[in-house]
Amino acid sequence: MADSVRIAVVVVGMFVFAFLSTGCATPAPPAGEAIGAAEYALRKAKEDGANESAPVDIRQIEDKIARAKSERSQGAKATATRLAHEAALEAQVAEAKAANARIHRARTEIEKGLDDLRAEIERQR
Amino acid sequence: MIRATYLLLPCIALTLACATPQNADLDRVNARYAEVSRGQAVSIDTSVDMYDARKNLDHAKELMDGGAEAETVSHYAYMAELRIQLAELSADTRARREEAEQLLAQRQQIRLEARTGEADRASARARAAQASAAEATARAAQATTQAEEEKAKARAAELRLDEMQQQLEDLETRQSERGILLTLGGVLFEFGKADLKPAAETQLSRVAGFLIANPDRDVVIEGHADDVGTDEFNEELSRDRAESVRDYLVLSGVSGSRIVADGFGKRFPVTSNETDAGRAQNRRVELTILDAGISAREAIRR
Repeated sequence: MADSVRIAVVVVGMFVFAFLSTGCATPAPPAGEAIGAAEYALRKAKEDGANESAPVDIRQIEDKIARAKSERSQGAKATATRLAHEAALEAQVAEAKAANARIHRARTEIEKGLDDLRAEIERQR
Repeated sequence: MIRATYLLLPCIALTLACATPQNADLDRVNARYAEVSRGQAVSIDTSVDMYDARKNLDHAKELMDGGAEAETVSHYAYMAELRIQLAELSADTRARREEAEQLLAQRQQIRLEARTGEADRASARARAAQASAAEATARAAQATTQAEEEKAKARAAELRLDEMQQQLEDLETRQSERGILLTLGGVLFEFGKADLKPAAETQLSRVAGFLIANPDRDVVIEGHADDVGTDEFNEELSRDRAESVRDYLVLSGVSGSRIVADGFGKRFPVTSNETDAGRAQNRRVELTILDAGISAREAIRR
């Protein structure tokens, strides 16, 4: 019984060591890079009209990037990178939402135009 | 004895639950992933976002099984959730765009039929009034148009040589008193048709981007023709071309209420129609991106 526990501890220990050492071997990209990417994604979303269609989302992304920066300045690089990665994807979602809202609007408009045209032709007959 | 086993079962279940690591966020997103990939809208085979979401979920599971902090596992689950959302949004955008394009095609068909119907009715009336005379005139008119179109076709062939070079100059902008004026030259349309060539779309996508980024600016689109062909044909063609440009912008997401499009035939040439070069310059669509505060409806030429 005691032996099997000892073996289990050794195996788990090896796993943890393997996990940690691979973690160290591939250096994580610097948090600054991730923050830069998030800022770029945010700028793009804003240019694409997300500021108008989802102002709250944009505000939250800005807050998250600010938090990432403050984490980085306190040396919490992993947290900073994680927040920045989330912010970048959130910005992409905001941009996709804006594009989606636009095409919905366009479709409705085109459909209405088509109805108007049909009505007009009916009248002329 | 049996009752005791029943009592024991939940205890065993609880023990097992504690032994296998759990993460509520991961479970939720895994369920969402399964739900979305079962649906018709988002194909896992083609959506990069879904593929990446799967990778995030697998990674989260690995981390969880390796005993990572709940916060880390939840982070990857959340990344996957965002990617699933992206996949859904882009699938929906694609579907709505296709629908919108089909509606535009329908509209074109209806217009064409209406025009043909109108022409049919008009000629029927004319025939009733003065059968043979009208027919002869119509034939003569048609012959003239055909001859003119032949001529125009021959010219177009010559012009095609210069096309490449001209396309580069086609997006010239200048400041007018109403705003920024851009001219799309005739070489950006299919000959004698209103369909945009890919080169025109490249340029217009830049215009659409500008308009989306500047929601307070309206745009006026004015189609113009040279003096070859009947007035009616030119008015129609120039209007259809202006509307093609309008449709492109609407499909790109610029609200139709900010756009006014019309055609003016040969009424507003920019230069003489005496030479090929002159006529090429006169066949054009002018876009004016109005200064903020000027509405398109006020600004259109009458």
